Amino acid sequence: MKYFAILIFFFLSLSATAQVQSVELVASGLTCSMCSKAIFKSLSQLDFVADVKVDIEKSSYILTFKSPEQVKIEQIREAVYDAGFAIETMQMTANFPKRKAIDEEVVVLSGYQFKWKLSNVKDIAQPQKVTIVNKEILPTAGFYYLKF
Amino acid sequence: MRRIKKVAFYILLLCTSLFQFKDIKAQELFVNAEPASIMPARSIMIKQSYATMTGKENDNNFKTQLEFSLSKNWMTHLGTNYKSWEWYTQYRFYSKDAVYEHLRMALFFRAIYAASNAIHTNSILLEGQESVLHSGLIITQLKHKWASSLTIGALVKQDALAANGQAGFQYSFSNGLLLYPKKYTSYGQTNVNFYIELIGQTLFSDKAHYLDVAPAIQFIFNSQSKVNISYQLPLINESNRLTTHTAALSWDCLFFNALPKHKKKS
Repeated sequence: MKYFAILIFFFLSLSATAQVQSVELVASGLTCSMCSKAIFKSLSQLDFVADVKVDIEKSSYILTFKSPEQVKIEQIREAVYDAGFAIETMQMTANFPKRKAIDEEVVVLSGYQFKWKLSNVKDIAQPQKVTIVNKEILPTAGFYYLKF
Repeated sequence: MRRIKKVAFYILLLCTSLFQFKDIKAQELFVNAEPASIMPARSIMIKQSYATMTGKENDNNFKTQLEFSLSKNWMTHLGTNYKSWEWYTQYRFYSKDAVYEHLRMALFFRAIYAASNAIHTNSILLEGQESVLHSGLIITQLKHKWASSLTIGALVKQDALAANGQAGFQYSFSNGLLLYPKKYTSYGQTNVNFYIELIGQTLFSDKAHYLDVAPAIQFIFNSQSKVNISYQLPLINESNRLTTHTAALSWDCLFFNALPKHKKKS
């Protein structure tokens, strides 16, 4: 029974590796702390967000999640736009299922299908920080594209 | 004409001198004008203001306002000074954001209903003394250390003596900057902002016009509540309006995510 539990835990941890650990975004269109707080409040009320760390000066927000499989990129985007602002950059820190990143190859993370947008093959660190390159963080042909 | 040139010179001098400051940040939470930006979606603001106006006559204005942001692009206000009612609505139709900057445009419509109507002056009074319709365009630009907003609108007042009512233009040009803190570290820091706003009106009928300047200081507490102190005085006054100088004190508080979210059908 004990070994069975260890085995289950091992498989669970394997499946949990291909997931987004945190999202870091830089919002655009603001300079005031009241505007920054509006984004902070909007992100904090997302039900899958555990914590939001903010750097008001840089307009950057680091989001961690209650359970990584429930990360909703559309809702993060909408929260910032609802506060009245836009997203300049969105980066994710994730554990990837593979060690090599190849251009146009599909990667499944937290239930999303991502594609690499790279000029050459790159080694992936664990965890690896990547940037979503899609304009305005809107998927193109159903995919979010990632670069290093 | 000489007076206008003189005013233009002082405005230019002020603008260029403000640009000399380093590390200043722009602020667009104007005291006497609305920026083209909309309050955060689903937020509510409560605003209380007191103004004392002097000139040929003296008057007081005690105003309560409730502001609702129905979506990220649309907000509406309801206000009363206990002698009149005001409804205001604003729709943002253009927004271009970049880091520390944006350009936004919005359309607005305002209706003021006053119980006792028409004080027969050749200006249109917007503080609830008479019934007025007011509509126009707001353009706001925020660029690092500079926030400027231009509002241009058409006005028409209900006046029993003027058969077709009296109509004119109302315009304002607002600028703001952050005085304190130099660097943001938390939402609890009290912010101090300085604004300089120009407010003008021209009536079509008898060419009456005025141009006021309104410097204002603003304190923001907990990134949520504001206290504004402003003083409006005329630069040019070619009208027979009853009051010319306004000292105002106002307080407001913003409640984030106060309205329920409309769930989309999936």
